[in-house]
Amino acid sequence: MSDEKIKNEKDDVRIGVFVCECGVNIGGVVNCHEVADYAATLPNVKCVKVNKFTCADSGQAEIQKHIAEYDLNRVVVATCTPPTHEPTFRECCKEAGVNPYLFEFVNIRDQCSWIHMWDKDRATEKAKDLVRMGVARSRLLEPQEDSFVPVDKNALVIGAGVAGMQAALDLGDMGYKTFLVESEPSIGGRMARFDKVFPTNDCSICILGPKMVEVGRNANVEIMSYSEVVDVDGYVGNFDVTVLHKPRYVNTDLCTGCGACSAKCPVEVPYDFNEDFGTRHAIYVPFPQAVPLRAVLDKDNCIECGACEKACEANAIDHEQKPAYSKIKVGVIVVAVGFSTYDPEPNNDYGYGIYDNVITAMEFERLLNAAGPTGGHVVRSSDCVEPMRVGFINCVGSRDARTNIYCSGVCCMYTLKNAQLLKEKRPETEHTIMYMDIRTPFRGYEEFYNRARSLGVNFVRGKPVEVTEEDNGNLVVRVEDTLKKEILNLEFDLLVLGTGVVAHEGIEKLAKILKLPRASDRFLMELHPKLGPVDSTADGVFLAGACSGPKDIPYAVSQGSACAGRAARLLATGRAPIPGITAVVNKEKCVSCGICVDMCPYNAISISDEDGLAEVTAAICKGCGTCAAACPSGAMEQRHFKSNQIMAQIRNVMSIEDAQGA
Amino acid sequence: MGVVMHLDEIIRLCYQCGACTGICPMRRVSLFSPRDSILNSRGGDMDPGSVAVDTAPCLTCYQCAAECPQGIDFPEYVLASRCAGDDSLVTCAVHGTVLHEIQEIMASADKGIPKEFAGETDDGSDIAYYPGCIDYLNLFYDDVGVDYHAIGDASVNLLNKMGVKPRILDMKCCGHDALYQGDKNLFERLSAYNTKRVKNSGIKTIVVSCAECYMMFKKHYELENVNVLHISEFLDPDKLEIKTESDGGIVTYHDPCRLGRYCGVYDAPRKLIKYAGAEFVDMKHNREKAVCCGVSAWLNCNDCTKALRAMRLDEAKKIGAETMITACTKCLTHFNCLKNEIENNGVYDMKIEDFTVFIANKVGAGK
Amino acid sequence: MESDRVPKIISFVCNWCSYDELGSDDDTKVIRVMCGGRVDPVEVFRALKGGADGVFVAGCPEDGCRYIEGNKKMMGRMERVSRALEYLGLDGRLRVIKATPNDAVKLPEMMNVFRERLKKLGQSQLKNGEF
Repeated sequence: MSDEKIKNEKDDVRIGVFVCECGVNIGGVVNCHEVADYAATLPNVKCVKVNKFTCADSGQAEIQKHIAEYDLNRVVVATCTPPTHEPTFRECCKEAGVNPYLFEFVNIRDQCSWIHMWDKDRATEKAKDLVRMGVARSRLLEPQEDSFVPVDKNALVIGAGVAGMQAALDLGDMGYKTFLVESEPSIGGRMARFDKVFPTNDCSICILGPKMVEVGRNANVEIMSYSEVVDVDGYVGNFDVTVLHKPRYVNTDLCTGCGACSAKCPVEVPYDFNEDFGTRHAIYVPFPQAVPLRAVLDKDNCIECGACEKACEANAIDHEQKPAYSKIKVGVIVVAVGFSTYDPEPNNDYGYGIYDNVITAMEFERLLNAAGPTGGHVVRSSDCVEPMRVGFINCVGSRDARTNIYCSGVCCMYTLKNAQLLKEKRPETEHTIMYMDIRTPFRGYEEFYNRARSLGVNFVRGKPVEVTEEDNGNLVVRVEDTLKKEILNLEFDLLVLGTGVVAHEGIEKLAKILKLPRASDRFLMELHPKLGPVDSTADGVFLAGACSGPKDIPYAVSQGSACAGRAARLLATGRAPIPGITAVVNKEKCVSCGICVDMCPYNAISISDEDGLAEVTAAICKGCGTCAAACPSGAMEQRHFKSNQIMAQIRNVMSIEDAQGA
Repeated sequence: MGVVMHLDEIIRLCYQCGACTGICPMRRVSLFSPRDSILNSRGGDMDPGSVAVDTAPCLTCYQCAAECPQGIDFPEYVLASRCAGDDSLVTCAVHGTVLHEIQEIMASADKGIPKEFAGETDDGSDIAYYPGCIDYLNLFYDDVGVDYHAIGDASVNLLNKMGVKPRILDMKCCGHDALYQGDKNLFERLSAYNTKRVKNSGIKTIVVSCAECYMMFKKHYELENVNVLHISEFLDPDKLEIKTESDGGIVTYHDPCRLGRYCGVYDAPRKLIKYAGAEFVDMKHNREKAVCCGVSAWLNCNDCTKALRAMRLDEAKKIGAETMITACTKCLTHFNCLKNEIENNGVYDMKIEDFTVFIANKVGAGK
Repeated sequence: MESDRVPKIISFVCNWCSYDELGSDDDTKVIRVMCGGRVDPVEVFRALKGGADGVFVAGCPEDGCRYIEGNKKMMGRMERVSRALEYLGLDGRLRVIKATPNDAVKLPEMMNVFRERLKKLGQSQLKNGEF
């Protein structure tokens, strides 16, 4: 009962209830008029109204008209779902002079008309229950104000693949100082390693190279290559970032990227840029188009012979370099760390890792490349012979409950591409793609598929199960051609696995640093799958490219630009809103136990030096309420989700008789 | 019916990719296709009985389920349709009908599994040994040339070596064959009796020497708080003293479907075989990829599955195995049967031996 | 256990040694086979499962089989069946005899002994099955 006594802005609570039919989406199942009639019987409800589309202009006008007519100070809308529509109705109330936090959302679509689609009576009864709960809560709502924090004008982009480069370029072009942190010695990312790119088969590095140069030239973009973000502190608008600069053992101010050092280095190790095919020296320039075009010394493999130092005319080699750290302050962060490819080695999928002539598509890509280890000749490892029959197996590590259930989206296209490229180079070769489904949405992609078919690439619809190696290194693939209903034993000279896209191996660490959640597929989670695809759950942190799921190049580039745009909203206005749902401490009840401090996943709570009591930094608080639920003394309350408000809902779960008795 | 409905829903997820058919051992020797069976049963107009007939050649060996990208448990679908259909497949069962009769009688009779084995037992122990139907096999499968009773002797002796005097409970057949033949009623009668018997006995651990019994207790029984172990999991190499030197012959191990793919026991038997000083070599298809002996639950003993057994023994021959070890009486029976066939006289010159018997001989705990 | 209950006996009888004699016995159901070697253990189990109190199997003595050694096979199988019945706690419900045609006169007597034994054992509790 004490709840009811809490004073509101006006002692007289006047509630308007608006029930939305959403066309037939809700109205086709829930009897909205019955729900409205019922709502009218609830205490403090001054008016009810059923609308066809409450979120439409006309529906909002109804709400505003009723606010004026009935002098409403609470608005309850029974309709769809808060993530999409709460901002709309809050704004509507605000315009009509009702504090946006005195608006209460009741979801009778997902929870009534959708889930009880086949039981209209039950759906209607449940809608009444939910409305009763919502009305009870609305009685106890209090007005809240959003606050704002200032936003530092610098930006940070983590990862300089094509998505991150695009984000950095756009932000730089808009005039914002942007730090572009890349863990590899050169920017460019995965795309720099592709031979050609679909659906036009143009040379990957030829179109990426100019963009890399552009990034290097952009006065507002500061590239931090061979560097990693190791710590992020602070909150939207005010991030304190620590960047580790790994020692290159080369003074980048002096180095000209001439490569003389590399030519003299006696050490040869497998070249990771070429998927470990071919070798590089211990000191090397990553690749001819690298930005920055500077050498890097791989200390693990260096034998300290001094040959490179003698060769370097610029005296740029510095064996004494130490890891360095720099601290930067930024207002926004764009995460664009990209992806890793599924590794078939641990499970020896289709004999990979056991049979020499089973390779991944990425390895095939490097073999195709003119700058690759074989100068563009696709040869097989066992005998360096150019294969006549090449098999491609799709969905390796994708669309499989044992590895990754999702479709990687790009493998069909790159397999079609790889088959086409080799077919063009050596028309006498035979290519067979073994697939479950071929997926080619988006402009020019289906045409690309048709091109492969018209070039004479064979297609077998079936998932292979077994690969055996012949004495001559050939591979026999056992697969059911499900269209012919025949078991085939196809012999190939080379077998290429269409390995899927998986979350970047470093994503777990970065997710911890940035306090970002990951989905069950291990990629970073976006704020909303449809309406917030580049926003993360952390304010001021945005996600571009394959860090939030498999993406192709056009998609990744779009997301890079999208992130720049989303980030610029904060940079341009110079302020970021803090919603009025943050936690507050009732200092009179606080006993300084510090439980809330440990509870907070964002480190938003501290024990004040002044009074020794808990205090919340509103700008860091995300409004999760974990602290409020844990506070043993009841001192911690989350605004807009106060205990009495939640209790009122719980009490009203029961029927109206029970509720009135309570 | 309920189970079949549920599986129907799962089977709607089938990609029709053919991985099951590609890996299916039956497909190597016939035109059987799990993918086709799933396709045939789509649309819901196929009753469980028809599904059971359509899938009768299925060995329930689980290779397809292990390969399915959608994780569809095809053997479970087959099992459910067999159990839901009007007629069990008992009529299709080949020579196993004797055992089926015995199992049926056992379900109503006072006694079940014989308990007399070499070695020491203790009725106060909280560790039980379950021998399964080995003594009945000894009576009716004498022409195969396997001493099944020796498995029980070896097991008890090995447990004694481990310092355990096991208790042998008055139990009945585990019901594996009945269930997989689709005689759910018989399985339920047997399992109800056994479950009650185990629960009332205060037993904490049951050690099982047969792959099928082990899988049944693990997957189809609800024996809460009772630890079910295959004897290979229970035996500790460090406590067993190897008495005989390796005789130099190559030893291989055939993974029974029930122990391997169904229960994931691959390493324990191998570890002990190696520890016993044998020169161990795996066949081409091993562990998850091991090819089925072709006969589970006494079904499908025919030319097709005989070809599978021949392929399997050829694999063993190819690596020069002198001994092939397995841990399932069905595998043991059918490989030995093939080996001893008149037309194969001398073709497969190898010993096909039960796991416990092999180990027991190595530690001087044999007969 | 009612003592006047007549046990149900199923007899598998060789055509050559005992068929004529037992065929006239009212209290046993006779199944004629050409040789004891034709009696499948499955059939004995099914008879018991179907509710028979006992199974009586008659074949020729050693060296007296028309089919050379069908009788030996029969003896071997029936020994195994008896062992299995022992395991199952159904000892005594199978009676196997070797008879020459000249022994025919003894058969009703043997059957009576078996019948008395079955009376003592009481009714079989295996009623769940069917033939």
